[in-house]
Amino acid sequence: MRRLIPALLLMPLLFCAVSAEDLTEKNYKQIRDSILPQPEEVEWRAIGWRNTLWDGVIDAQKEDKPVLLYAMNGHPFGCV
Amino acid sequence: MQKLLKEFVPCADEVWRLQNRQDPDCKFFMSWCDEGGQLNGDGEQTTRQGTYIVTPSGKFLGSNNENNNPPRMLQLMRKALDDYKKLDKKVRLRSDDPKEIAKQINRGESQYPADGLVLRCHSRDLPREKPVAAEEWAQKALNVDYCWFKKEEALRFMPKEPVKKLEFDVPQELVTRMARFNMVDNVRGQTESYSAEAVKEATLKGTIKDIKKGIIYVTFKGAVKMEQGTRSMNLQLLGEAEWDAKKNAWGKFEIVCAGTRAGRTQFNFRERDEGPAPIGFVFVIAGDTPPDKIAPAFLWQYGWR
Repeated sequence: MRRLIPALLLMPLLFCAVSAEDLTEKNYKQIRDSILPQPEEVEWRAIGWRNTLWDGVIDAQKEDKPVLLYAMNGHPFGCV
Repeated sequence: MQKLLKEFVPCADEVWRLQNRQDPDCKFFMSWCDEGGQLNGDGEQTTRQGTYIVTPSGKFLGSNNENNNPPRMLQLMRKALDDYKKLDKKVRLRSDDPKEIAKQINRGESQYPADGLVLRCHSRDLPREKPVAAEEWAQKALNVDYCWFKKEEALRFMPKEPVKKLEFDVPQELVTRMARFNMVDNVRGQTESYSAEAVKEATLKGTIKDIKKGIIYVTFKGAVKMEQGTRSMNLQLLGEAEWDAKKNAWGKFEIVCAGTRAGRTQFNFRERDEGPAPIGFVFVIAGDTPPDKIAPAFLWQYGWR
């Protein structure tokens, strides 16, 4: 049900295309909320990520733990 | 997996820099990244995208490129942790101080404008009249990037002498930065910025709606139009912001952009969906957590020194 409610709120948008002429003060919040991520889409943020490999090395040395690196073209936090 | 992850120090990084630059962290990465075999095919320039586990000293413990395969990831993590525990402390840890080495590392994050305006920009496809056939991940795709303004630039989103009902123009170079580097079709993947010449229109007009108890309430309205080769972006902008005069900082800053995109770039997965089609962006103030402090994808084009 938790996932169904946001989906239902977005239903009106499924039936109307948006063009450059369509953003108005009236639909501002509706369009904004349809673009912003839902909580389940940003659950990865709850992990105690370090921003860079070297930040990971610094903390791993301090905590005596292995470094787990997720490396992508474009920073994974930017998802680009 | 969450429990097991606590036995590691998780970090994320941009791989092109790691495999192409000569900073100490880049040399460190290249010294072990291929020990489990190249994850994306042979060739010196082939991307090293993937997940790697290594000791702080640089002893390789494992790698894979199966981020959507939890059982394989668990297997990798468990084996790496077992191997780590078997190593002598002198072998798994560094003999030098990594904090000292950090001083030799040059990267965009060192220019983070802590006293400026740091915006997070979300992007997503907006619904269309006739949905196109696309894989599930592509239909659900969304992306995020950052937009940085130094303190003196953040102040320029406000008139010097704000009074109620005053209308003003936000300097075009600030709007142009948001347009060229953030209003790009990165919804499904990495893309390119727009050139300065591609910007046909980049306007943002502000209006002082109210001033109450040290808070200046501003609304924004504008438009962006960019054309470069076969790709284009045509957007309308609306926004709401609150300037906290006591803190001398933006307490709220939000701009919504909606309109039409067309065309594609090499890596943005629009081969079968070049549009024109609806797209949207939302700029909001970024938080204070590590993921919100990475450099904008196109920071190197800002001209900052």
